[in-house]
Amino acid sequence: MCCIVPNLNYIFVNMNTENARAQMRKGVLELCVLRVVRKGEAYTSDLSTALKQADLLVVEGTLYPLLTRLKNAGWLEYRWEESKSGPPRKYYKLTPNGERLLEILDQEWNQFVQAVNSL
Amino acid sequence: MKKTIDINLGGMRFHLDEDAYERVHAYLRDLSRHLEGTEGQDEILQDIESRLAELFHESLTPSKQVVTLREVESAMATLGQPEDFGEGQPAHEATQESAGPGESSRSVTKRLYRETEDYHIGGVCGGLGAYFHVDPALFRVLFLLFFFVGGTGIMAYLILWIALPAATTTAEKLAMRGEEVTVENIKKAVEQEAHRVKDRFQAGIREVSPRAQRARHRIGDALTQILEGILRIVGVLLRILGFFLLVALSAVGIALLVIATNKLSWGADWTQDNEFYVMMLTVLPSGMSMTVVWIATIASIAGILLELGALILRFTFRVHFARSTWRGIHGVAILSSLAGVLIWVIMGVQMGLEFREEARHIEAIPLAEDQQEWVLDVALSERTTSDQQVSLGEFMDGLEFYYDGIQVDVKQSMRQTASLECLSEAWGSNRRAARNNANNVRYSVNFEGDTVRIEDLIHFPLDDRFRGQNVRFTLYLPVGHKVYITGACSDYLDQVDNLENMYDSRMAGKLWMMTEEGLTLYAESSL
Repeated sequence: MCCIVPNLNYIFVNMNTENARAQMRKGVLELCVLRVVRKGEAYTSDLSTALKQADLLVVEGTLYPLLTRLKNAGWLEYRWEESKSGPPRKYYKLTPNGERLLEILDQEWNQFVQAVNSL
Repeated sequence: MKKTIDINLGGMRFHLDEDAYERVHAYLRDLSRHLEGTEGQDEILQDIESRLAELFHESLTPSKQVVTLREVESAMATLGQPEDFGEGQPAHEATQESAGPGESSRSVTKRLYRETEDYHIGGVCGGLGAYFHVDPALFRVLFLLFFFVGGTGIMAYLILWIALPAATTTAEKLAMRGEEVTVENIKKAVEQEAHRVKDRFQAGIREVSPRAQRARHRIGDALTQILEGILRIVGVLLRILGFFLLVALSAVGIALLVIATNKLSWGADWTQDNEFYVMMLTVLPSGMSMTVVWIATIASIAGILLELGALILRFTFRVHFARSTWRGIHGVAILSSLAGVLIWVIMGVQMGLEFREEARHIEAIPLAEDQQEWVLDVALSERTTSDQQVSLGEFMDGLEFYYDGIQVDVKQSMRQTASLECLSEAWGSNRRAARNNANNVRYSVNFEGDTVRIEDLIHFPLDDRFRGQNVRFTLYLPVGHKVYITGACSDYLDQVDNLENMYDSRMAGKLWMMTEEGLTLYAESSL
């Protein structure tokens, strides 16, 4: 019995942190995408590579609905570019509106981190 | 050798292995289902197709021109499973959760409503037509036909009119029509349901390897498809059955109502042919009228009918009652049935109490002194001899109750002359009532020369009720007298002591003589 209980606890703890991390990632994904795009025009796979390197994304698919929504909201715009390795690609960049929004979001993020750390 | 399939993905042409094609096709179909209702759904799908094309293109080399299952799986791993496609959109997920079961995103559940556009009276037939996808005219004709069967149609119509909600909103109108009950649609609905189950299942075991996942889905799909198919068919059958049950129930209710009104008004003669009615009338506790019986019967049956009807509406037609309405129906039904049963019990007990005391009334009639030979006969009334089955009711004449409660016996007389003893017996709640009942019994005997002719029917006032009234006729014969017992007596002879030890029924039609020892057979036939 005394051997099983700590093991079980470990599993539960592990599952919980995994879940919490997924939730956190989900919350900040929008901000992260905007930040990556601010560095320069980006294609979906560039975005996913950058986010994956930062361990902020699991699969590329998550980005598609998000990008379409940000574009429809007027924060992002894209241009087509021919590609040698397939169909034409959409390269995304921030609109002036998007840049303003990102500034606000940046501030809010900093406040958020401070607030969380102060606890 | 393997067969390949050509596809156009994002404007590019690919050769895919058959299994790879199946996988991509299923993947894109799942995606489009998953993204249904998402903002910019078509654009997202196009982007994904383009990206898939790019990933496939990258995997191809001059020496490898065909996309295999391996490349498809690897591209899918990069892009993610359909349920991963919503994670960037908390808003979308929230709406999906709040939609709850049976609403919007799910297939429409069929409900019975009243039609508010195509109607003549209350829209009941229109609603039924929409529900069963039949011309409402059919139901109109049915209701009209049932109208001539004791007005059943009207009652059923009224019940449905009251019970069914009107289809006012678009959603309700859609729910009223639901989907046509065809094999095709059942299949479609089952597939949708299976897909939903699959989605949930997938979300639950995301960590499991893709291969195991696929195997599980296939088994899960097959099982859910079979189960759901069966359930749906059973559901449809139940609903049709429920409809006819409802019609039948209202028919019974109407019949009871008709009988009740007839009873209460004491009008119709036909009720007297009803054996149950006559029986009840004669055994009822004295002073209690048949109205009580009818009230008790109707109350107990009405309660059951009400409960059944409500249950059918609720479970087979999914008519929703407010909790308070449901409780009200429940309460009324139970109270009604209980009250009915209680009245029955009280009547039963009271009836039993009226069989507590027995009393007798004796009348001795001296017979002609000069006669030595007699004929004992029973005059069978037309009622008992007629071939046709006679019901108790025909024995009732005005407020007198007639029945053949007689017994015939022959015994030795202690005196020198013959006599006939008429012993009336009856029960009552006390000695006085019993004696009164016994005194009220009327019988008739005719004396014609040597013939003693007893009438088979005795009668007593209906108000006395049946309290075991009967009359025992005993012919007392002095020693040496002879008696011919006619064949008509055979059914009424009751344990007549005789030296031949002959059974009662066989004693009829023979000539007997009284001796010191008892009754002996004198001759096999008449004098």
